Amino acid sequence: MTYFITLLRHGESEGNSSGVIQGQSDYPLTVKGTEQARILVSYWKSVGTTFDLIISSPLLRASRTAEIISAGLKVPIEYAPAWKERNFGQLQGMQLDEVHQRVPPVDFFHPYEPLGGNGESQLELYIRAGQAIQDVLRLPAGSYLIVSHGGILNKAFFVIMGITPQGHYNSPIFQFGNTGYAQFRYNASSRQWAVLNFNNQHKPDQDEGLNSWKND
Amino acid sequence: MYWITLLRHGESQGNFEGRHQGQADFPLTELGRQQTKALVDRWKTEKISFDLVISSPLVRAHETAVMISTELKAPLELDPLWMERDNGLMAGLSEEEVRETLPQFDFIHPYQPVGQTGESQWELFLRAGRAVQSLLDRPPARYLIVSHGGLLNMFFYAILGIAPQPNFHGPRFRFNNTAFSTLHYNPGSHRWYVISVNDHFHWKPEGDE
Repeated sequence: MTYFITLLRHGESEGNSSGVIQGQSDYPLTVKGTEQARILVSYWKSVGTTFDLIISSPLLRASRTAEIISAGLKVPIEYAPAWKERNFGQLQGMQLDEVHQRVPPVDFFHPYEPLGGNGESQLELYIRAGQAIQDVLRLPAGSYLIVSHGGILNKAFFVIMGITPQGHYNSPIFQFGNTGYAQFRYNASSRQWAVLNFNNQHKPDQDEGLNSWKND
Repeated sequence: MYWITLLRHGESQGNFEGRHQGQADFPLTELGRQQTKALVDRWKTEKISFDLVISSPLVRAHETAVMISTELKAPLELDPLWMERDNGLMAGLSEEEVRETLPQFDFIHPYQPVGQTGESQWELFLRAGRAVQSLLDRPPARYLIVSHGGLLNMFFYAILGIAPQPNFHGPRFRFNNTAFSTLHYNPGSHRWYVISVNDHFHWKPEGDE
């Protein structure tokens, strides 16, 4: 009774390459992003990694990544809106470097504060990630690949670790580069999670600026 | 910014024989030295360097640390804060010997000494907390910590805000021999970044359970 769960962030998207806050707005993969997904497929083939099912966010940058993997490894895909990126409210579509001009910095933001006026708070995102993990664990034990986004994958990590959003900038960040991934084992009889590995294909400073902001 | 790399020692004789080591002192095996060499070669290729290597004084960590500090030309300090859990009467015993000689418990609370006389989960967590504090009392730099699976798990608990749970429940952070995890800490915003966990690409890819 063991689950193997891999949380994968999509390949580079047009929004990533132009420095836009994407949230739930839809951007396709860049050529580089497509290539990243292909490289990952060859790597997984070379080490014999495969999955029983791919569960993907329906947003283009994730679904396209999932389709490339699905075709390469011959694994079926299901789409689940629970794995969509955080709703960034009115920040969606803004340039990262515009944010500080258009949105005045606050002394403190709490975890219940809707992002960008009408987006999801940290707590709401955490709750959605919790439900998404719950949904995976209602499936029979097996090996699942989740293709999703940096913000919500961080909260899925929190759910698995048993930590809650801290408000302001005080939550730890699990830094997912494009096609970075984390692999977990959940033993359904001992009810114990293990982090098997995280992000070990990637250079440390990849996408740092982007991720350090977007996970707030 | 602090750049912190947490490294578990190479395979030791105790690992090879499947023993509960704790603070019992076993040297590296030949394989353990090969793993360390592979890591050194990889870090040289990637031009990774450290300002300081801090190691547990237990020989399996110390030997690993000496090879790295010599090859990468980084100074080495030993600090007993980074030693593995004192596992009391379990030290050096095989699984079978533990079953034969020590009482088994249905429920283990976090304050219960491990192996009758050793450190409880809570005490190990507190020591990991002191290790975090001792590291951040130093100036921001690139630090390599050479230590052990049990203590490094509690280091993760201390920085992520996870408290020890009964029956050793709670998430486990896997550390294969010579696997490392990379963290960044920004003291200006009190923010921890987890960059990687259990990276052992120099030795074996993922999935070798």
